[in-house]
Amino acid sequence: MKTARIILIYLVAALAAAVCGVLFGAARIPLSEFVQDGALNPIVELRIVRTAAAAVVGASLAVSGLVFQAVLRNSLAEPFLLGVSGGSGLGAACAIILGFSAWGFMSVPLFALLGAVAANLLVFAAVRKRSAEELLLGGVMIGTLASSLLMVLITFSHSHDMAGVIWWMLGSVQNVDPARQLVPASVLLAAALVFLLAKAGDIDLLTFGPEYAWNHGVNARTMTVLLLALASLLAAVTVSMAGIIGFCGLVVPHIVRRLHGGSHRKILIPAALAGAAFLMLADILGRVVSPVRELPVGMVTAAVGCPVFLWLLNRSRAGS
Amino acid sequence: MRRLFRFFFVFAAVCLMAACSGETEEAAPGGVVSLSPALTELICHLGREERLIARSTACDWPESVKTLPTAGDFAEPELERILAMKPALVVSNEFVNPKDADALRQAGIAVELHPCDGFDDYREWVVRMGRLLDCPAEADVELKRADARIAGFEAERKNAQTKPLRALYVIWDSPLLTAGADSLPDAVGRLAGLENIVKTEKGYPSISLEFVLKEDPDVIVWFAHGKDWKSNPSWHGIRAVQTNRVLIPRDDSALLRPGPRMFDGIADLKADLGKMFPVNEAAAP
Repeated sequence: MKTARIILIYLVAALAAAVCGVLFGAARIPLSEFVQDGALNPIVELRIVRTAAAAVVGASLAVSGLVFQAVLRNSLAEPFLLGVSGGSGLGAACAIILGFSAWGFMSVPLFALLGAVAANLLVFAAVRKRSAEELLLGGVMIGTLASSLLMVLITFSHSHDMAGVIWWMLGSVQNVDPARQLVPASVLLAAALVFLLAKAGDIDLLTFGPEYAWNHGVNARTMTVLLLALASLLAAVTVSMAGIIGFCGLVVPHIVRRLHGGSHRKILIPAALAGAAFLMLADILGRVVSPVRELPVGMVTAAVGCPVFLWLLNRSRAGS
Repeated sequence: MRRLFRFFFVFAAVCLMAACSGETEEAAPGGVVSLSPALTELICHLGREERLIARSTACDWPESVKTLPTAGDFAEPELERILAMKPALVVSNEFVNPKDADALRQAGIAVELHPCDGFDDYREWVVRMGRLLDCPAEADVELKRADARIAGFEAERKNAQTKPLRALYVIWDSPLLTAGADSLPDAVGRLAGLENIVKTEKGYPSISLEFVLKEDPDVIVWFAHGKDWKSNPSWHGIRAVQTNRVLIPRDDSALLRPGPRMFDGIADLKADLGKMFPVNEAAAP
C-alpha cells in the first residue's frame, strides 16, 4: 500500500477518535448545548483539551517507542527504558511529599520533567561506552535506583501524599494546562517528527546494527545517542503532562511495524497517528465506563491493548 | 578487594550505629498508646490524658500531646517501640497491616480497633473509652453532649427556609479525590446544611472533572490543605470557582477527624457558609 494511503487511513481513524472524544464523556450533552450564550460549554471545552492532550501524549509515546525499538533492535523496548519513569516518579513524589506542590499547579509536572531529564542525563553521564546495550543497562540501573529512592520517600509520607503520588503514577490526561503544557509538547512532537523523517534512512540502517550503519556512512554512535536522547525527551514531556502511561509506546509501534513493514519513512507518521487514536479511545473508555469515577488511562491502555496485541500476534503467526 | 572490605566494614558500622540509636521510653503501668488523632482527642476530652504514654505522628491536638513520644504513624504502629513501652492498651481505628494487632496481643498488650467514619461510630467509641479508661460518667456526659448537638443541627436543617447547598468536598486536587456518600465530611456537611454532589460513590473516590462540571456544585469545601485551585486551569470552568465560592474550613482537622471537636467544626462551617451565602443566613446558627 502506498504511504499516502496508509497515512490517510490513520488520519481518518485519529480524527474519528478525536470527534468521539469531544462527543462522549461522563455527561450527555446534546449538540444544541455545545455552545451556550455564544461561549463554548465548559464540559465541551474540557473534553477538547483532554482529547488534544491524549492525542499529543499518545503520538509522542508511539514515536518514542518506535525509535527505541529501532535503535535498540529490540521489540520489547519502550519509551521509559532510560530511567524516565523512575526519574519522573521520583521528581513528582518530591514535589508532592516534600510540599513543593503548594507552589502551584505546574510544580508537580515541572518536578516530574526535571526528574526524568536528570535520570536521562545521569544515564548518559554514567555510561562511558555509549553503545545501545550499555545505555539500556545503564537506564535500567538508574531507573531502579530512582524507584528505590521513590519507595523511601513514600515510606516517610503521609497517606494523602502517598495517594497523590500513586494516582499521579497511574496516569491521566484530565489535568493538562493547554498553554503551559500542551502547546510546548505539540511543538516538540512536530519538531521531532520533522527530524526523524529527515533521518528515517539512518534509522533504517541502524536497525541492521551499528556496524552495518557505519559501513553505509552513518555515524552510528552519535546517531544512537541523539535518537535515544530525543525519544527520551519526548517520553519525559509526556510523563510530566499525564503521568506514567504504559503500553502505548510499547505496542502501538510494534503493531504498525508488523502491519506495514520496517521502513521508518513509511511508518513514522502512521505510528504517531495510531498512538494518538489509541490513547484518545482509551481515554474515552476510561470516561464512559463509570460516569462518576474515572478509570486511569494507563490501566485502560493495558486492558484494551493486550488482547488486541495477542490477537494480532496469533493472526500473523497463523498467516506465516 | 581491600576497598570492598573497607566498604563492608563502614556499612556494618553504620548499620550498628543506626540500630543502637533507637530511643526507648520507660512506660507507666496501664499506659495507653493512641494511633488515631480522633481517639487521642477523645481521651483528652474525657480527662484521661495522663493515661496516654505515646501517640501517632498525626496526633497534634490538644497542644499538650505533642510532648508525648510517637509510636508510629496513623494506624501504622512501630511494633518494637510499642513493645519497649509496655503499654496496657493500644487504640486505633484500624491498622494498615492487620497482623500488627496479633503481634501486639501475643505480647500481652490489649488492642482495641474500631472504625470511626460517622456519628454512630463516634458514639460507640465514647462508650468504649468510658469502659476502657474507667470513666463511664464522663463518657455519658460526652454522649449526651454529642446527641444534643447533633439533634440541634438536625432541627436547624429541617427548619431551614432554603434548599441545602450542593457541595463538592475536595480532599486532594490532582487527581481529584473527594468525600463520598458515607464519609465523615458527607455527614458533617449534611448537618451544616450541605448536600454532597457525590451520591453513588462511597469512601473517598477519585472523580472526573466532567462530573463536577455536570453537577455544577454551589460551593466547594476545600480540604486539600496547602493546595491551590487558582493556578490549576482545569478548575477555571467550574462555576463555584468562577464566583469565588470555594470555602476553606477554619480548622479542617475538626471536620475530618471524628473527635469531640467536630461539632464546633460544623458550627464554624455553618457560620462561614452563612457569610458566603447571605440568603441562607436564616438557616445559620
